[in-house]
Amino acid sequence: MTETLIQTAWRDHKDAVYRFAWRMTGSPSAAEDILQEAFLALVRDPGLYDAGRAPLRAFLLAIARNQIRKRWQRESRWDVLQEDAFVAVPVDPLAGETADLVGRAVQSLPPLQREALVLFEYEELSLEEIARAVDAEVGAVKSRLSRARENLRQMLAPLRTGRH
Amino acid sequence: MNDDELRQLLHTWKAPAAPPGLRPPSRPWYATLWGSSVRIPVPVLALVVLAILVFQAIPRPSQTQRLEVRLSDFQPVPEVKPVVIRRINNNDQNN
Repeated sequence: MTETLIQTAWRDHKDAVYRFAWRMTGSPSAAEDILQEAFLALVRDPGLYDAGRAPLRAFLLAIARNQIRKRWQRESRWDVLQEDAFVAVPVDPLAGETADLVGRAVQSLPPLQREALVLFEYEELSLEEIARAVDAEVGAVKSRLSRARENLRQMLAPLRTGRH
Repeated sequence: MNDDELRQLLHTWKAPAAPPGLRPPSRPWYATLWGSSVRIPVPVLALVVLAILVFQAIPRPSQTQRLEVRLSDFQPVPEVKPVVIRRINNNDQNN
C-alpha cells in the first residue's frame, strides 16, 4: 500500500475509526490514540490488509477493536464487565439530555454487546463483517446484538414516554 | 419499544468526527529504506557478476606475501663500486 493509498484511507475512514473508538471508550484522547494505532498498524505492515476478505473500513475497525480490547485488558476493565453480571438499570429521564442518557446506556453495556451494537447500528457493518472483526461466529454476534438491544430496551424504557 | 423506536433513540447519540488537526502516521525512515527496491536490467546485472568473477579469478600476490620481510632478505652487495658524484654546476654543463 503506497503513501497515496494511506492518505486516501485516512481521508475516507479516519472518522469512522475515531467515532467507533470514541463510542467504545468515551474518551477523545483514547480515541485519538486508537485511531493512530490502527493506521500505524496498516502503515507498518500493509500486507495485513487483504482486499479480498473485507472492505478497508471493516479491516481498520477490526484493528481498532483489538487495540481497545488490549487497552482494557491492560487496565483490567475487560474482565470486570462480564455479561452475566450485567444488570440493565433504567435511566433517569431527569438526569440529562436524551442523547447523553442513550450514550451512557450504550457505554454501560458489557464490551462484547457494546462493540456488536456500535459496529452494527452506528458503523453499519454487516453481521459477517462484525463476526470477522471480533473473531466470532455470526450466530454469536447475532446473540450479542439481541442481548444488547434487550438491555437497552430496559434501560431506555423511561425515555419512551415522549420526553425529548 | 420496537426495533424502529430503539434505533431512532440510539441515533440521537452522535459521535464527533476525528479532530481536523490529526495527521496519518508516516512510515519510519528505516522501514522505508528496508522496503525499498532497485530495478536492475538483467544485462547490467550479468556484466557486474562477470566483472566480479573475473576480478576474483586474476591471481594477485596475497597481502601477507607482500608485507612479509625477513632479515635474511638483506644480503651484502657482491662487489662494491663506489661512484663519487661531484657538485653539478649547471653553467659548466652548458659550456
